[in-house]
Parts: sequence; C-alpha cells; structure tokens
Amino acid sequence: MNLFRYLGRLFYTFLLDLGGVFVMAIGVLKSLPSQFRHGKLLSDQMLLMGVNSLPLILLTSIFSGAVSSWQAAYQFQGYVPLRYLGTAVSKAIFIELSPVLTALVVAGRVGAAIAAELGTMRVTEQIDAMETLAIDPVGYLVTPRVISGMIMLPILIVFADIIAILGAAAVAIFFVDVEPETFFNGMKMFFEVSDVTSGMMKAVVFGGLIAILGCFHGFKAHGGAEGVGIATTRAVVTASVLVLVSDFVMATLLFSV
Amino acid sequence: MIRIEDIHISFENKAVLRGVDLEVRDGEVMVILGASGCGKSVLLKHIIGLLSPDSGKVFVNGTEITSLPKHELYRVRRSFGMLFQSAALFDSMTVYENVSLGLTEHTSASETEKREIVASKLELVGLSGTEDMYPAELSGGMRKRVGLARAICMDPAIVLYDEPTTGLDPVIADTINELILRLQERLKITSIAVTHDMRSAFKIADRMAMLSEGKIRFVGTPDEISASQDPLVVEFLSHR
Ligand SMILES: Nc1ncnc2c1ncn2[C@@H]1O[C@H](COP(=O)(O)OP(=O)(O)O)[C@@H](O)[C@H]1O
Ligand SMILES: [Mg+2]
Repeated sequence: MNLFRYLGRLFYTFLLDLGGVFVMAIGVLKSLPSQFRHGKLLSDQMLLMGVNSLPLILLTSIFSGAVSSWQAAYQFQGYVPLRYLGTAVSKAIFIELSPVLTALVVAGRVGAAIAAELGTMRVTEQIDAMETLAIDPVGYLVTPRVISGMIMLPILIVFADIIAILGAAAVAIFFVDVEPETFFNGMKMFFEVSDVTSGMMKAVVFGGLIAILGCFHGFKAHGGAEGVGIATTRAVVTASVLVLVSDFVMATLLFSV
Repeated sequence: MIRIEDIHISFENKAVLRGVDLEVRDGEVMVILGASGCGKSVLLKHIIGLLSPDSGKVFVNGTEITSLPKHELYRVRRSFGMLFQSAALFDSMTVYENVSLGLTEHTSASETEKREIVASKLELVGLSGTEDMYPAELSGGMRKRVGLARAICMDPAIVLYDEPTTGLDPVIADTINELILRLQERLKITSIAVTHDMRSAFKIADRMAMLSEGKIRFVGTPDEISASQDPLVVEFLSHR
C-alpha cells in the first residue's frame, strides 16, 4: 500500500516537472525576440560552457576513442580483417560514442554548474529581486543558457570527434600494429557526412535539454544550501537520463532499420 | 494607493495569511509589525505580485494585480522598488551593474547618463565610489544600502522594505531609518516596511499595522498603538 502511494507520488512529481519544463520552454521561445538586446549574456555563456568544458572533453574523448579501438581489435581477432577497424571505430565514435559521452560529461559539468548558480540565486532571493525590477528571469537567465547549450554542444562534439579518432588511431597504430593508411582508409571507405551531422543534430537536442533541466531545477530550489545541493543532483540525473532516452528516440527517427 | 482585500494563502496546508485587509495611503510610511515567521515577508511579496494569493485581491492605484497577465504586471512593477531582507544583490555583478540593471533593461539611457544616476543614488545612501566593488566585498549594512540604491534607481512611487534594519548595528540602522524618511520627504515616496524592530518602527512610521495569526490585528498611528489596550499589542510593544 505504501509502495503504491510512493510510486504514485513519484509519478505525480514527474508529471508536474514535465509540465514545469514545458512551461519554461515556452517562456524561452517567447523571450527569443528580446535576446538581441542581450548579446553579451549569450556570448558570456557560450564562452563559459565552451572553454570550461573543452579540456575535460578532450581528456574523456581521447580515452573513449582509445578503448573503442582496443575493444574492436580484440573482438575482430580471427573473424574480421583489421582493415575494417577504422570503419567500425569511426562509425561508433561519430554516431554514438562522441555525442553521448560528451553530452554526459557536459551534463555533469555544465548542467550542475547552471543548477548550482541559479539555485543559489533562487534561495538568496536574487531571482525575486530580478522580478521586482520587472525583468523576466527566464529571458535573462534561462534563454541565454539554453541557446548557448544548443550551439556549444555540437561544436564541442566536433572537437570530441577529432580527438577520439586520434586516440583510436594511436591505439590501432602503436598497440595493434595496424598501418596508419590501413586505419584511415578503413575509416574513409564507408564514411558518410551524415554520420557526423546526425551526431551534431543530436547534440543540439542534448545541449538544450542539459541547459533547460539545469535551469529548471535551479529555479525550483528551496531551503538554503541543502536545497541547492538537491537541485544540482536532480539536474545532473534527469539530464543524463534524458540524454540517453532522447538518444534512443532520435536514433530510431534518424536511422530507420 | 494600495488596497489589500481579504488575502488568504497557505503553504503545504499551513495557513499563513487568513484574510488580511489593509489600506496604504499615498505618501505615507506604513510599518507592518509582527513576530518572526508570522507572514510579513509573504504579505509584502503579495503587494508586488511575487506571490499570488489563494484568494483575495490586491489593488495598486486601482489596478487589481493578482489576475494581471505577466507583461502588464511587469509594467505595474516598474512603479515599485523593493529592498529584500538579505539585500539579494546579484553576486555576479558589481555594485554599479546591480544598481543600473533596471536602467539598462528598461531605458535607453547612455552609459554616461547611467553612471551619473547611479553615482547620485549611491551618494544618497552614503556609498559614493563603491561602483566597482562586488557584493562579496561589502559588509551587511553596505549591502542593504546598495540594495536600497538599486530599489530607488528607477525613481519608484512605492518602495517596499523587508526588515530594513534587522541585524544591523544601531548606528547603521539609524542611517537607514533616516534614509527611508528622507526618501519619503524629498521624493514623496509611499513606503511599506515590515519589521519586528520596534525602535525603528516608531522612528519611521506614519501608521502601523500589526499582523498576528494571519490577520491584521490593529491599524493606527504610533500614538494610537501605544495607547492600545489589546493584550496582544501591549505584549508585543513591551519588547520595545
Ligand atoms: N515559498 C514558500 N513556501 C513554503 N512556505 C513558505 C514560503 N514562504 C514562506 N513560507 C512560510 O510562511 C511563513 C511566514 O514566512 P515569512 O513571511 O517569511 O515570515 P516573516 O514574518 O518572518 O517574514 C513561514 O512559516 C514560512 O516557512
Ligand atoms: Mg521575513
């Protein structure tokens, strides 16, 4: 009985949050025209998200590329010729690994930072203060972050793609003893531009989701420092889950079997 | 004129305001008294539309604000300034950016004009030359004064003060009291201050209202409230 009540409550909160995020997204759309006056807010956010996330993303990409190369070579042993190593690894990196892993890293880095910053502003009444100055906090705080997320994540993915491929190539060349030409020819053989662009399209959605969930949970924070901590955790968890769910949904839409 | 009619609000089944009626006249300083946690801040937030009541109405110069669409509410809010209990300065902005934000967003004032206006407001609160400091570098009293400069930067007709002197040492508290009075005299501002600091209340109030158990228990001039026989009022005043 208690379990049902608990699950019911959980589902109810989920629906409320879904509605809340939806309302916030509409607010973002409505505030788009006013953004032209706020160019600096947007460029500040883009710089912050892009520059601050880049080192971490380069680091994680090099290893995700390296391990995918190693695992592919291991699985190919005796069955698949190694000239297809570059093909398999680059497809995996461009289409799934790089967009999804980068998005998860950004969810932890940027999503958390947004929720903590806006959550602090909420519990210290800075958001209320903005309202009393007749400034729409959604237009001023949320919209620049969401747009910035939608622009910066695809750009970060390009860097992640390149570094992951280099990591994969390094492992193939130095540990698996594949000739550089063999690896890169394999990569070129079945390469399609849409592999990269589909990853970037997904990144637009991931970037928007991470930013708006960070903002939503930040805005909902209450009850001092502890409340900010809870909001931050929720922002990261919900963004990570939604990145994976929306990745599946978009995969079925972009790649029909 | 501000008129509050039968405001009810509860949070998570706890009734905080249970039928508040109050009228504030143009140009007066109205002080709302009440114990900590009785709902003074909640009441103040209803007057500027930060919270909307479960039932009841708030009229600002004849406009009922609880049912206004957002952009019209924002237009009404431009005639308000509010000083928050914790000052609520934007930590990521300098004092200058804090005070000038309203001007930046709502007017086409040039950078030089904004500098001038901000300098004059900062002078009024006794903080000339602090433009480039960040809130973290200021003391509690200084923050409150910057918050006040921000609240009056757009020359509002009504200023709301949430505990303007609480937690400040008596000397700084008095400078804030004097500021509130000076603003009222010089700019004919209508002021509503909530506080549980009796000393400050009697210094600034034209009229006082006492909030207790979710209702306004008493409204009157400082002399009237001092002469009241109501046991709750007498009890509250005894802590003066
Ligand atoms: N946003 C809110 N959500 C839930 N409870 C609130 C909220 N704002 C105020 N309260 C509750 O309302 C009561 C009155 O708060 P407040 O108006 O801040 O008191 P004070 O008179 O000290 O200013 C408190 O018990 C507080 O916990
Ligand atoms: Mg209060």
